[in-house]
Amino acid sequence: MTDTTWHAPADLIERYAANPSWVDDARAASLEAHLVGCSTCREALDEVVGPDLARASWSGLIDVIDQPPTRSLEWLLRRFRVPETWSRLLGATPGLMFAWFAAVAAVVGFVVVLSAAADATAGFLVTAPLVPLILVAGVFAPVSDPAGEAGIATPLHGFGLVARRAVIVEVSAFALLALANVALGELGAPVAAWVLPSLALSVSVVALSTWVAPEVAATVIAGAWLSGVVLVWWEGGRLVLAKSATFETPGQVLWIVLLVLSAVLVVTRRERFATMEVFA
Amino acid sequence: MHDRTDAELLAAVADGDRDALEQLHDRHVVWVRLRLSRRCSDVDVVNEALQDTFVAVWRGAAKWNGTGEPAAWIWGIAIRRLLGVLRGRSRWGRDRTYQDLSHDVVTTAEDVVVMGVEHGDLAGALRSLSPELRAVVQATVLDGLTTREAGDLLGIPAGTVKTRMMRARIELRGALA
Repeated sequence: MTDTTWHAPADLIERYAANPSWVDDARAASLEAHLVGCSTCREALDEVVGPDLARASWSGLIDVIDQPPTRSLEWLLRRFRVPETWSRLLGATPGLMFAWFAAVAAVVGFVVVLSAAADATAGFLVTAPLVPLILVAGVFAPVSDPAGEAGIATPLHGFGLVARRAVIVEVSAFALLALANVALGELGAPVAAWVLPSLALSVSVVALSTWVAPEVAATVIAGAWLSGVVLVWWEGGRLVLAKSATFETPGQVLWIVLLVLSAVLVVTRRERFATMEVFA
Repeated sequence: MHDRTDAELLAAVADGDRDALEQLHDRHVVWVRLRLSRRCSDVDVVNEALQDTFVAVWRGAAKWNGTGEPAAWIWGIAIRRLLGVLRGRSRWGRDRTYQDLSHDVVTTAEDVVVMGVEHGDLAGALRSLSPELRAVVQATVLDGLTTREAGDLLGIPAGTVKTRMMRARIELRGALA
């Protein structure tokens, strides 16, 4: 039975308030555990510390809270460390749709640029996997973003939350890519050839995120993909699709293997997601 | 009108009541800040974690499951925010770790006597642990982190956390026997 009338002695509170490190571990631990449950001692501590800390903290806090909610394009930009002045400006346009269309527009833009040097098919097949890859990395909030849920997600829900969000992102990205595919007209090559690589690459980003930061994982994998494509496809100053066994059956088997391997890694390392922050 | 309890304030914050947030903030900011600063001597890191904590409280108050002390829930957020800020900074090369505590623990002769009287052997037993073992005990038992989170904070594998906890338990039992 606990003694509910114990309160922290005044000298302990004063010393702790002056500098918590001046109190030895045992007494500090005892006081800290007590403060969680005792409002009387918390008030005593506030008395000693004075009102300035709370005032300063609150005025800083309302600056953050009263900001208009971050728009989706803005968080996309902030994810990649675009300075806040720019990201606020560009992010003033409303809606998640903008971010998705921006991603698809980027794909189409790439195709236009690349079709000058190569064929449109190759351009699309190169850039399509990048879209879900980058977007799935965006499921994780930046470490310093207070919109994340790290303090609130419990280990039991961490992986489920990430998986759910990632699936939504993937499905949307694939739907849009399929639309872009159709819209871009006749792409002679097996157009669905981009599906497996895209899936494999984005799941491998999630798997790699259990070791390094999501941004790093996405950059590494995107870089590996692009340099691999250039190495395999580049010939005489152009991208040559015919060279690419990556999109034919032998290559597709490779993508299946990568996909399964990444999925296994994600599932076996899923408890890592409990301590990562997920965009709210 | 009576002063609202923490639980009532938290429910009000979940409904978007900003005055409730201010009251809750004023009640808890001081002890949370002091407790965080005892785990990290970098003022900027602590301030960032502190602000992130209350922003998270503001945005996530609805997620409190209504059981236990709101203060404990708030501390759970705060310590994980500290972890997040530390992890974010170390990734970019600035070496700020949980163990970077101020080592100015000042122990006067009077303190030693007082502690001996009040706490019997426990203070001595804890002090007799090595800093590594004490850090693990503090992270898991006192701050309520999982072994993996404690490992992240201290920069050691989760397995090492477990073995150090076992050794700490054995040593404490021996010292208190």
